[in-house]
Amino acid sequence: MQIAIDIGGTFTDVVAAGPTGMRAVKVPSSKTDPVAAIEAGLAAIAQAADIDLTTVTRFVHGTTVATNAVLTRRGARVGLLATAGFEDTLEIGRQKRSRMYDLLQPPETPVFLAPRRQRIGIVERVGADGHVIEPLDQEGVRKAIRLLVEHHRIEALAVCYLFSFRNPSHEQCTREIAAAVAPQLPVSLSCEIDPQFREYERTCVTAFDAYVRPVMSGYLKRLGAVLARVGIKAPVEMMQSRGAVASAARILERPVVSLLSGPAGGALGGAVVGYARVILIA
Amino acid sequence: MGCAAAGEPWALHQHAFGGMGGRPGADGLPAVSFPYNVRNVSVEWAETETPVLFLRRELIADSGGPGESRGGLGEELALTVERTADQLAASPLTLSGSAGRMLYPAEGVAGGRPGRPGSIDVNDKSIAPTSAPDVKFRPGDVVRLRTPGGGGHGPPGARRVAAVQADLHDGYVTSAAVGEQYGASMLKGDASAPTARRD
Repeated sequence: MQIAIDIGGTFTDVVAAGPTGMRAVKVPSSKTDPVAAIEAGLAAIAQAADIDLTTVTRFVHGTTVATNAVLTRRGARVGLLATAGFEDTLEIGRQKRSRMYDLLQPPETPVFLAPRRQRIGIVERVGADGHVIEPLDQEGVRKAIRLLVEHHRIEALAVCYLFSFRNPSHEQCTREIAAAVAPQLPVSLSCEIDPQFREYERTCVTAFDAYVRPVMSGYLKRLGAVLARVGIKAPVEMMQSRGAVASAARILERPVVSLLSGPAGGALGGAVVGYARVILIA
Repeated sequence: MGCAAAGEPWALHQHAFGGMGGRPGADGLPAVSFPYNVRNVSVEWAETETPVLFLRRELIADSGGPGESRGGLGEELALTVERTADQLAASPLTLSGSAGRMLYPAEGVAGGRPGRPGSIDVNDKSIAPTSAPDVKFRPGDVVRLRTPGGGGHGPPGARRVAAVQADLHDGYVTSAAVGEQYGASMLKGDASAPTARRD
């Protein structure tokens, strides 16, 4: 027996598929904690389809938890460490505007992820070929993290240094320092989250990752507890934005990949049900 | 632009944008391509393709014109060309292009004040402001481009205190400039708040 659950803003959908066919139930989503609706949905499907939940072999899940955290601006307070002199990369962006003739356009770079006061420059520099031009100022990293944690009360740290995708040693060392200074602080390194060339885009993805990281890890922890309680032993598989599933452990390495989890699952499901001629309305 | 010792010429076409003017009800966007609309060159691209090394690309505090809506901040780009034997043999290097608002700032409107004009200097020595700079420099020299800030919209005295305080916290303005441009009353009670960034 396989179970798939998608949590939407209004309803939580549960589908069970097994040798005897497919059954689906709908329960109201919970405004306060999406996991509550999962528990209710599992109880409903167990009853409707007469399933022994301990026999579930596969559990697949799509969620808009990360998406909603971004849309409602309820992600973590993020501190961002950047190469000194490039703290404003997140804010300056690519400097192009999507609406050329809109004089009142709001800023298009996601400054809300880490306002300028929470971005600190670190003296260090790696060149285009990966060689170290200036070594990492480890004391500077220590001071910056302390300031961000103690004064700005950050809940997650994003680190994006220039050319870290060529030589990740400075970012990795920064994580070690963070682990010593603030052991509980979740850290997203650009060399792991999106190890690609172009500093603005890499900074953006890394900052988004830090922004949704505490939300996703708390959510997956509560989900795991609910599944254990109802007796589901199958590992959690989560839909990613690109339309493939990954284990919960993989999602926690790069939570940003779940940003479009819900919509991606919907599109894939629609393709299966309606082949090529389907219009999906979410 | 320059020439490597091997004879291979190179050129970097780099855009640097000033701040947008303050708008009714909204501050000007910082360092943005306006009113035209093109994308910048990423630092990592420029350094991968040319011998240029960027030292800085950041917003300039106090460059936005004071106003009820503040003008957008200009940006500072500092760059050099690595002093390798190759580059030294192949010098000189030339910085050329078009620049605006170096002589006259972007004016404010409806009582807003002008933004800070742009400037170009080499090793901290200003070049004469001109709309068509053509500057020779050598490997190891530091070229600094500072783009102009946008003009303010509406009288600075009408700016919300909370907006000035937020600007202070984010380092978009310094407390010295706030006292001068917006009045000491805007600093009340919070002048000592840490701005965090340069600690």
